[in-house]
Amino acid sequence: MLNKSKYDFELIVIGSGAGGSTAALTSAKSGYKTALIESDVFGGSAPNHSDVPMSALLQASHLYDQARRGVRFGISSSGLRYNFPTIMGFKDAASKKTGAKDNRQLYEKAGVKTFHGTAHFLSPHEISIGNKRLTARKFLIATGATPTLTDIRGLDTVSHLTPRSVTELHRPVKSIFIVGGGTAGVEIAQLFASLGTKVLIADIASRLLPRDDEEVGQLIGQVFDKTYGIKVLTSTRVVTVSKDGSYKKVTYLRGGEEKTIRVDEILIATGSTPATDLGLENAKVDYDKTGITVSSSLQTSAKHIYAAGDVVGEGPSSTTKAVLESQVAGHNLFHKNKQNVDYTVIPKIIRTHPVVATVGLMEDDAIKSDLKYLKALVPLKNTPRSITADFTDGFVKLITAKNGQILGATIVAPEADTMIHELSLAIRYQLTTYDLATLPHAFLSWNEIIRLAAQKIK
Amino acid sequence: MTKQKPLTIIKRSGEREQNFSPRKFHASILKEALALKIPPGQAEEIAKLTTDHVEKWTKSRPTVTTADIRRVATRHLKRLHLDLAYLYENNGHMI
Repeated sequence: MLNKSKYDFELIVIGSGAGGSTAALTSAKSGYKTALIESDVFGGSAPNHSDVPMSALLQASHLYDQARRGVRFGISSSGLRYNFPTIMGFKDAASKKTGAKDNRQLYEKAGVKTFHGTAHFLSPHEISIGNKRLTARKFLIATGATPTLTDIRGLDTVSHLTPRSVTELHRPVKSIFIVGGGTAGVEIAQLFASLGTKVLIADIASRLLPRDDEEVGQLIGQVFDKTYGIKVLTSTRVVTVSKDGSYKKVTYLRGGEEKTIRVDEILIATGSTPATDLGLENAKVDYDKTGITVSSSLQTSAKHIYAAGDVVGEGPSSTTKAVLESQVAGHNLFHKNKQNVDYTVIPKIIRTHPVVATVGLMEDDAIKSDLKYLKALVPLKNTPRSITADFTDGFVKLITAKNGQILGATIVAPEADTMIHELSLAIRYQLTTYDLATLPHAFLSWNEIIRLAAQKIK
Repeated sequence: MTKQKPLTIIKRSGEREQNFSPRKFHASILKEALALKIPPGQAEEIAKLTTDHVEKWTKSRPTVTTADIRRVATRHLKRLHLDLAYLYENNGHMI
C-alpha cells in the first residue's frame, strides 16, 4: 500500500512538447519536485519536426517563388536556382536557434528530472517507464497526437512520406501525391509546388480545408490551381497505392471514375489522433477518440491528473493552444483558484501564401449553433495595398452579433497571421464593428481591409 | 511469435508480479476460440495474430497490468472475431 505522503515526485509531466514544457518548468521553478517524461525527441513536435522547421522551409520556398515571379517588378530571374541541402541546413539552424529543439539539458538545468521512455499508468499514482516505476502526487498528461492511420490498400507495403518526414528529406521531389487537404496537406503542397515539384492533392471532402469556412477552401483551391499549377482533386477517395519500379502508383476514385497516376512520392496527411494509449484506464482517466475529457480548468476525471495540448479533445490542435493550456494547467495543478482557458481568442494559422488566419466563431459554427449573426466579407482587392503589392487573392470576413460585437474573423491575406491579432483583441474586449471602423488604420497597411469590413456592418 | 525481453505483469492486487508468457497467452486464446467452435485453422490464426499484436504493443512497455493485456487483446480480437472478443472480454464475469 502506498504511503500517501511519500511519492517520488510532486508532479510528473508526461510529454515535453508545448503542452507539457511550460508546466514542467513552472513547477520546478516553484520548488516542486518535478519529473518530465518524453518518449520521442525532447521539445516535442513544434521545434523538432512541425511548426518551426515547416515555417523555415516555407520561408525559403516562398522567397524563391516570389523571386521567380518578380519580372513584373523589374526583377530578372534568369539563372535563379535553389540549393536543397542549403535550404535544409537553414531549417536545421532555425530549429536549433529556438533553443527548444532536443532540449533535454534545458530541463535538467532548470531542476526538472528527465526520463526518456514510454510512460504507462499502472495505477492512479504510479507509472512505469521501461522497467522503472515512478510515483507522483499529481500528473500532467501532454502526450500530444499521433498520425491518423488510413485504410488505403497497399500503404503498408509502399514507403511514403508524413508531415514529419517531409522536414527530413535529403533531396527535392519531382512529383508528389498528397492525401489529405487539411492544414498540413495544403502547407506541404505549396512548399513543394514553390520549389518546382509537380503536386497533386486529394481530399474526400468537396473542398480543401473542409474544417474552415467555405470561402477559404475555395480560394486556396483556386490559388493552387491558377498560380501554382497544383492539381486539386476534391471529392476524391484514394483506393490503392503500389510500387512501380522506382515510382509509386496511386489509384483514386473521383466522380465515379477510377484513375491511376505515377509519382515519385506519396504523402499521407490525413490528420492526427490524440495519443491516449498510456493505460489511462488504470488511472481512472476518462477519454474517447477525440481525446482526454477535461473540465474547463483542464482537470481530468481523476482529480490529481490534468491534461494539456493535442491530447485534449477541445478545439483544433495548435502549438498556441497547447502553450496556453500548459500555462493554465501548470497554475491549476498547485493553486486553489482555478483558471480557465479562453479558447475564443486563440488564433489558428495556416501558413500558405496567402496565409489563412481565423479567430473566434466561424460562420459554420454560428449556423450550427442557430445563432443570429451578421457577416461582412471584403475582398483584398478593395484595399490600396493590394495595388502596390500586386496581390489580390484574399479577403477579410467578420462574424458579429446583431449589435455589431465581433464574434469571429477569418483573414486570408499575405500577413494574415499578424493581422488577426487586431480581431483577437476585439473579441477579448467585446469591441464592435463601430470601434474598428472608427479606429485609424495606417494607409497602405493590409489592416485597412479590417476597417473596410467593419464599415460594412457598422 | 517474436522473441523479446521478458514482460512484467502487475496483477490487480498490485502485490504480485509475474513474467508474461506469450506461449501461455497464445494457448489461452486458442482454447477459448476452440471452445467457441471456431475451426482449428482459423482459431490458430486468430491466436497467433493476437499474441503478435500484444507482443508488439508491449515492446515499449515492459511493465503493464493484467487489465492492460486484456484490453489490448480485446481491442484486437474485435477486429478478427466479435463473438470471441466478447467471450474473452467477459471471461470470469458470465454466469
